[in-house]
Amino acid sequence: MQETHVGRPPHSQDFEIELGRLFSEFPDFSPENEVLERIDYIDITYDIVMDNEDAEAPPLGTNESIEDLTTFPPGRKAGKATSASPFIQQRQPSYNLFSPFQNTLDFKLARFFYAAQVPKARIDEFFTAGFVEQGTDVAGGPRFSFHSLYGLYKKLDAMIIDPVWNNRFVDFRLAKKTEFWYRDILEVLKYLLRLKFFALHMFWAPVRHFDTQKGRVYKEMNTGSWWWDTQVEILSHISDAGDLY
Amino acid sequence: MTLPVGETLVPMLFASDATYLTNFSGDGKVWPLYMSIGNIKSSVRNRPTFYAWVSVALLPSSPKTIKKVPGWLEEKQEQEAIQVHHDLLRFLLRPLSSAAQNGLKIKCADEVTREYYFRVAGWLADHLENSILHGIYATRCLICESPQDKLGCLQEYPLRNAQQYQSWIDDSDKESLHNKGVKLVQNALWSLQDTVPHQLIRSDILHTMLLGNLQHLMDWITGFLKYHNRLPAFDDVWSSLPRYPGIHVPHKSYRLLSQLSGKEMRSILMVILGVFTVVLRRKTGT
Repeated sequence: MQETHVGRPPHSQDFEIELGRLFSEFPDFSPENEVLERIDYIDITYDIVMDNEDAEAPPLGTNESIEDLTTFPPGRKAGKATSASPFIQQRQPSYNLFSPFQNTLDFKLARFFYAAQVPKARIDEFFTAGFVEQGTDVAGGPRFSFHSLYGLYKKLDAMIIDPVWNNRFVDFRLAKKTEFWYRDILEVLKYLLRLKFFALHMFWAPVRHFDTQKGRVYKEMNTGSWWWDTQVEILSHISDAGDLY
Repeated sequence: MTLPVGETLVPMLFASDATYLTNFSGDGKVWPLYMSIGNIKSSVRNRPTFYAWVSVALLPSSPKTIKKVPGWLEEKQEQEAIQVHHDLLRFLLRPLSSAAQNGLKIKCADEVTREYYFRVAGWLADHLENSILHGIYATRCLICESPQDKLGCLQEYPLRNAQQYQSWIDDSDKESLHNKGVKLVQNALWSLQDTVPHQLIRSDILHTMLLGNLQHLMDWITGFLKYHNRLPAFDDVWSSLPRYPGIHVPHKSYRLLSQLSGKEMRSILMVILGVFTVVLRRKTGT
């Protein structure tokens, strides 16, 4: 009787019985294993066993993120924050989130001009035509911190502080006083690290990715062996790392 | 070798290549040096419009070598030029030495302060540039000590040993240095913290794969098809490729292409096997 059930559609009740028979006869059998044996490739985008689920940088401004940051990767303590984020701390009253713009409205207007790609002449026209009152806002200060295209561009330039260029001279035996230009390398590193744009695309800790057959999967730079070997102190964390490492 | 627990690694990536600006009005040649960090996701870092590679220096190129300077041979002029280049690199990398050892607290993009340790992790350059950077003859392997006539052999040779070379340079042991193909230059990369110089070398896909192997493969394929009188069919198939996202479809037949951009070469690599198969399956004369 059992032979007749083979090949029935999977939703039928007989299939459940058939599946139960298979489970009892072959303890290792499970529907997932069956699927894996049939296909001869593994889609690594779905089957990656993430060694560290919290590898992605936490979203800005959320209160839960700090716990992930201080302890990540779990048990290995890399990328530890030495001071908490001001998003979580009680912020100083003088802290201006919209610096160099003075308030939300000021920032929103600048962002509108930039994102809508308003022509340069029209930006000047906006202020000279009297669409906005040049008077004071509720608190008594000026309504906008810029009143012309020039003022807007000055503010936009102030948003990014590029590392400065220095110049010096070097003497070749046959070409004295050859000029060269350079930037302080630490300033450039600080610049790269503080760019808000990259905040969601950065890694602070090494991770190891494995596919379903426990083979290493290499993707980004922090999934490689070099980062792991340089950062992770294997001996001090072998207890909580388990047999995976 | 490993970092203190809890601190953050910042792998620094450099890229440099000597660039000609002008040929006539003076020696218009500069040596731009770019830098990025490995913490940024690679798809973001490598997109030109995201400006993740920052220009760090515009170094001077060496003056042209001049013949017949009394007591100042051309070889010596070249050696001096490389030595000056390394002195400049050491000058640029000098702020790293204390930061790499003790770490540096920096406020980061996600408003969190971390203690960062900087390590030089890679230096993207072509072979000639690498040979100057590592102070090794361009005819020798930059990674292992293989003799010049044994390049391409399967035999394994010991890897480059910077400490050994440094001691030879300090003793000015010219013969040993020459045997290993090392220039008599105080190398800036050898003094970097926790860095093995020959591990900085990364594969140069443009010169090895696209300009090297692809060119060789296309010469071989066109020669083969010409011998079998299938070159016109090849041109037909080539110019009738359908449009496809991500592939730059050539408008001309292959023989009319004179200069290829890197994007075109990568597209050729994607379609060449299919084109070749179709050409071979066609009956001759059609």
